Parts: sequence; structure tokens; C-alpha cells
Amino acid sequence: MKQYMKSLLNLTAFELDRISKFLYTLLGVTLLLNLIGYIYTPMRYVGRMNEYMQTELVTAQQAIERFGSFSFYDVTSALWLLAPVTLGISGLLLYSLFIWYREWMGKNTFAYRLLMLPVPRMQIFYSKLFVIYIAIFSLIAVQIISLTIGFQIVSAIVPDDWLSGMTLVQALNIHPLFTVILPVSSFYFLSANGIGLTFMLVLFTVILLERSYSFKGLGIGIAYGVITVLIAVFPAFLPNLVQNYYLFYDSEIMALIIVLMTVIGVTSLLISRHLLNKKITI
Amino acid sequence: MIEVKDIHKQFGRKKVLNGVSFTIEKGEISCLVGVNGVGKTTILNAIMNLTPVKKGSVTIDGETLVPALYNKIAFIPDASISLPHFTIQESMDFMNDYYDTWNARRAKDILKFFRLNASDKLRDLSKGNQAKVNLLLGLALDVEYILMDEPFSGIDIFTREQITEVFSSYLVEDRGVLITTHEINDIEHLLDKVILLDEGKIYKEFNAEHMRETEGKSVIDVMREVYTG
Repeated sequence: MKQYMKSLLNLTAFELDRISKFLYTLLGVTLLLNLIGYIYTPMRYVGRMNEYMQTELVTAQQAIERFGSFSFYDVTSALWLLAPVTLGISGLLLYSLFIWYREWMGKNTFAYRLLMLPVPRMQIFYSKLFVIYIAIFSLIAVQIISLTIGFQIVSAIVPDDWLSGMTLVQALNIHPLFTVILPVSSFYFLSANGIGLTFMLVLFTVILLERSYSFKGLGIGIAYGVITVLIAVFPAFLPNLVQNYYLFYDSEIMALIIVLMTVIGVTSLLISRHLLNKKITI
Repeated sequence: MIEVKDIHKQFGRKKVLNGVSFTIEKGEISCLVGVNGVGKTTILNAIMNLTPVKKGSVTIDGETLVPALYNKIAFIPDASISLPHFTIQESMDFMNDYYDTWNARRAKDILKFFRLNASDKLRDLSKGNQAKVNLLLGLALDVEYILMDEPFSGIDIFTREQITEVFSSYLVEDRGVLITTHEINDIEHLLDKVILLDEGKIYKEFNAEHMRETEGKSVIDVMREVYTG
């Protein structure tokens, strides 16, 4: 067990080292764009308020009636904050493909070395999965720190009287994206991560199917992906299907979703293990 | 003993291996020969569980290959399989991290013999030097069996001589060795057994020295008879 953990940690650290430049870039871009957003968005508001007061010779109160008070939600809804999140999600999605395919790229295939390591091959799978998750949580952690600092910056730029009084948590709670990706609501956060983890397990399985059976594997993989999506969304349609016979509580639907996600996840792990041990081709 | 038993392999509709069986004993250097595309690399990949076979089995000392056995058998493919941005030292450290059988002293000896600089990055090395690093990473493992795929592919004559010298020094003892090569002249004197492949099957299996002594034929002579009619 100790040896197992040691090699798993080694592999994870190795993969982490390989993602580090990409991850630092994502983190840097996120912080930079966020910072621009924390400064530019409130300053534009302050500028518009001042300009309106000067040109129309009105009081701040009248200007607020015209433009509304400023809340941190205005900042979180701006492109400066949404773009890095989108970039992070799409970047890590692409990296999830790259993290496997790079091993087979070019003539000098590192897949040889990885598959010949005297460690269970599923450790390769887990280390790649862990690294994607470390990257996700690093981005989330940096986003939380960034938002906390950003809130202070915004509060310093916009006069107190012009602020709506909305707290950071309130602003994030009503935000359709941040309420899911940040641990603001434990329900949404755990749901998003549960769905995300299942998605990653299915994606890795599809990749391994393709690496094992080539084009035929890609076809099987796509079919597998479609089936898992249908299974995953099934609970959402269940109340409509049986509405005349049975009324589902939300908790029942939630329990069903958890069971189905677990089944999909475990199935994907078992298929991946079989493929890595018996079918993968160099 | 490595026992390859009745393995069949197909790529699409093309049958590459059609019931190949042979054994590799410890303390024996065997060479798998055949024209391009005859399935030599596929056999090595199949032994190392790097490609699945349709039928048949491979056992190492009676056991099916499981990851722990990679401490017992090493494979040196014909291309560099370390990360190009790694230095030679980093590649050796990587091996040291995972393989119980990594012999750091031997690695240092081979490094010195090949006059390689441990701080050089693999991507900056010539093809010959990359092949040397590949050999170093394989031969520095204290394994019982070594498989080598085309160790002389695209390598100049002086490097070949160096590699042959390393073979003589490090392939001895009780290891079982299986090599595939077109450059048979360079290692013919080292060989115990030659396995000739043709049309997905073992065409002939013979002892190189015995063939020389009894029939006066070199391995190349036998190959010429088989492949050119």
C-alpha cells in the first residue's frame, strides 16, 4: 500500500510538473483579466456618474436614480470575469484530451515508458485525473482570492453612497455561473463537481477506447458518451414520464441522479482499467 | 523463460502474426529476423503487453505479464521514449523513481563509456546519441530479460561499434535477450539463436554457431536463401 501510494504520488507530481506552465498561464491570465475588471468596471461607472452630475448639474442621488447604485454583481457579470472562467473551463477541457494524446504524439512516444512502468496502469489514469482536478481547484482557489481582493478594490473605487450594500457572498449567490463553480452553495458546488467528475471519467474512457480500437473505438466511445448522457439526464424527464402515477420529491430525484452518476463513474473506471490492462495499443 | 505461444495478430484485415511460438531462455541471446513488416516489432510489443493479441499467450517464467514484472523484463524500442525536454540526468532520475531494479552505478558507467553529458537535453542530441541514451536506460536495469528493437537503426558505423561493445559487456551474465535487427553483421558473433520470420510464422529457428560450423552459412546467407528464394 505504501509503495502504491508512493508511485501514485510520484506520477501525480510528475504530471503536475508537466501541466505547471499551462496552469500558471491560466492563473496569470485569470488574475490579470480579473484585475482589469475590478478597476475598469467600477471606474467606468464612477466616470459615467461624475459626467452625468457635471453635465446635467444633478446630485449624486439623482444620478443613482438614473444609473442605479453599483454592486459587486456588476463586476462579476462583466466579461473581464466571465472570460477567464470560460477560458479556464475550455482550456482544461482541451488539456484533458492533450494529457493523453501527447503520450502518443510524434515518433518518440512516451506512452511506451508510461505503460512499461512497474506500477498498476490505473495509476496513470488516476494521476492524470488528479492533476486535472488539482488544476480545477487551483483555478477556483485563485478565483476566490481574486474575488475577495476585487471586492476591496471595488469598495475603494466606488464611493460608499453609490454602492448597493450587496456583500460579496450575496453577489455570488445570485450569479448564475459563480454560484455553481465556486463553493457558495454546497448543493450546487457538489452537484457541479459530481457531474464534472463523471464527465471526466467518461471522457477518459472514450479516449482510451479510441487508443485501444482506433476509429472503431472512437465510434464505440461516442456511443458510450451519448448513452451516459441519456442516462444522466433521465431523472430530469422522469417526473414528466410518470406524472399521472407518482409524484417525485426533489430529494428522490437527487438520490436517483447520485446513483446513476455513481453507476456511470464506476462503469467508466472498470472499462478504463480493462482497456489499460488488456487492450491499449502503443 | 519467456514463452510466446501461438500468438495471432491482425491489423484490420491484414494478418501479421499467424501462430508464432518460441521461447527465450536466460543466458541466451536470440535474434528475431525478417524483412520489413513481417511483425518483429509487433511480437516485442505483444511480449511487453503493449499491443493486444487476438489469440495466444505470452508468459514470463510461467507468469502472465503484470506491471510488477516490468522490474524483470526491459524493452528498448527503436525510438527515444523519454521526454524530449528531459536531460539525460532527469531521464535517469525518472527511472530511479519507479524501478527497483535501476542500477545507478551501471548507468554511470555506460554514460561514461558513451561519453554522454548528463546535463544534455534529449531533444538536443543526435539520433545516435539518443539511441545510446535509450540503451543506457534499458541496460542499466538489473532485469532478467531484455528486448531490443532495431538498436542500430539509422546509426553510424562508429556508434554501432560502441553499442556492440556495450552489448558484449552488459548483455552477458544470465540475462535472456531478444533482439530484432537488420544489421545482423554487427552482432552475429554474439548470437546464440536466430528466429526467422516469414509470412507471419516462424520459418526457421537455428543456432547461429552451429549453422556456421555444420553448413558454413552465416545468418545473412540463410536470410538470403529464405527471402530471395
